[in-house]
Amino acid sequence: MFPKNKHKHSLILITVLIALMLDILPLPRVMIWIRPHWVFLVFVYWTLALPEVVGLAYAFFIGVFFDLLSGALLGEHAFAFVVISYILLKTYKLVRVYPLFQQTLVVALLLVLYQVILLTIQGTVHPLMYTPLYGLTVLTSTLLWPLIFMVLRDYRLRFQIN
Amino acid sequence: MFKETATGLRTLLFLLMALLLMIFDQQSAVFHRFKSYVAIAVVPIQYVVNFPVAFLNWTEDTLTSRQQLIKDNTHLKAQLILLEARLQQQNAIEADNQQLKALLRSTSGVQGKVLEAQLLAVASEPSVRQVVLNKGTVDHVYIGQPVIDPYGVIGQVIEVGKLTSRAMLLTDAQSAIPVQVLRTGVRSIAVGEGVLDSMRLLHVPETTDIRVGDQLITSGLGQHFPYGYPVGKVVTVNKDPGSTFMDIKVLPSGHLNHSRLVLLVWPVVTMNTSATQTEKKYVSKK
Repeated sequence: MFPKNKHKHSLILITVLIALMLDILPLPRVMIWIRPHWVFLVFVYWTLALPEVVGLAYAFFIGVFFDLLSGALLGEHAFAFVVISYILLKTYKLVRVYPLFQQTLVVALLLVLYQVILLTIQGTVHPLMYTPLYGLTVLTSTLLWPLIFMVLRDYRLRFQIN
Repeated sequence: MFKETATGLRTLLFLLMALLLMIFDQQSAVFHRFKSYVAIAVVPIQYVVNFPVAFLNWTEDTLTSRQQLIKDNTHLKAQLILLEARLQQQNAIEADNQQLKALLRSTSGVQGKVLEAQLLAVASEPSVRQVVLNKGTVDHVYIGQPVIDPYGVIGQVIEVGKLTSRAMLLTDAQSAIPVQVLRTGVRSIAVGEGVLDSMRLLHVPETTDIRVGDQLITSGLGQHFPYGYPVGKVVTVNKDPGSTFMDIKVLPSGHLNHSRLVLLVWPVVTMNTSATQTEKKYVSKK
């Protein structure tokens, strides 16, 4: 057995916090369309790696915190994160052993679902303009997944978070 | 088997909680007060995120060359003289205006207190056009307060926490501002379009005199925004024979996307004051 890391929750939360910061960093207007969903990617990684640690409760509270931070409708991201978390908890055994390319495709599908949930909620609350530009964040986030995956795996192995 | 059903049940529970949060957030004012207290928890993060930006500004300031500073200084001085000269005229005009308004026994006053605020963060969803400001209830910021920059109105405060507040920009899909055309005095309401960086004028009949390039100012109706601040310029006017109203697009005058410093305004609304009262107020202020 590996030695248990006592600080695993704080070590995980640090990465989530960094992702949250990247998500609200003030950027030029054009950049907003290609800003990747950092928190989403980091959250998906941890759920796949440690599903018994990062589960539904994590998803809910990260979502609520993100809502408070970004000024979105409270519960909006929490809802989307819980749905994604459920799917991952049901399928992580499969997704975990996929080669990276296939895994990226799964993440892309989840990203589309995530975006659709958020846009549906926003669309019911206030009028929304539907443009294909929303797809850009899905694209940039998907391209970023392999990088996030490798960086976080390194991080996890170095600090022996398991 | 047991564990699997538990996951499903817990998921439903969490989804229900999220749904309840959304409904409360949308409906209840009491919940908003509670939310503004909880939101204090995110303030440190907003400041940390602001740090690299503030640091970049600081390095830029310290690294500017002496030559550049001298150049800037001369330029600014020239501009100051120009503005001062214009202000002299303005003072005379304003005094005239006060007198005329007093004669008409109408309301007056765009004068008020202003406070400089800094942008801490912007919303990450493209359709939500909001910014976070570094002033809160401690500085007496209130909900509905107008936010302007040197070029015009940029939005209004929609949420106030202890140390920070959240302002909705004019282009947010939920934003609306009463305006009038400077040239003709035609009144309308400019609503945001969310995704696009433009606004739209509501309910302007086909026969109205409005042209591309017309300047729009706040009309002061609705008592939220003081009268006379620039709002935007008309960029397109489309007459659709099928509909009763024209389709008019407006470009905001305020630099919504690249202002880092904004001004919070406390308008002085003097209702039904006679001439002497208005004058007294002016004297006591000075």
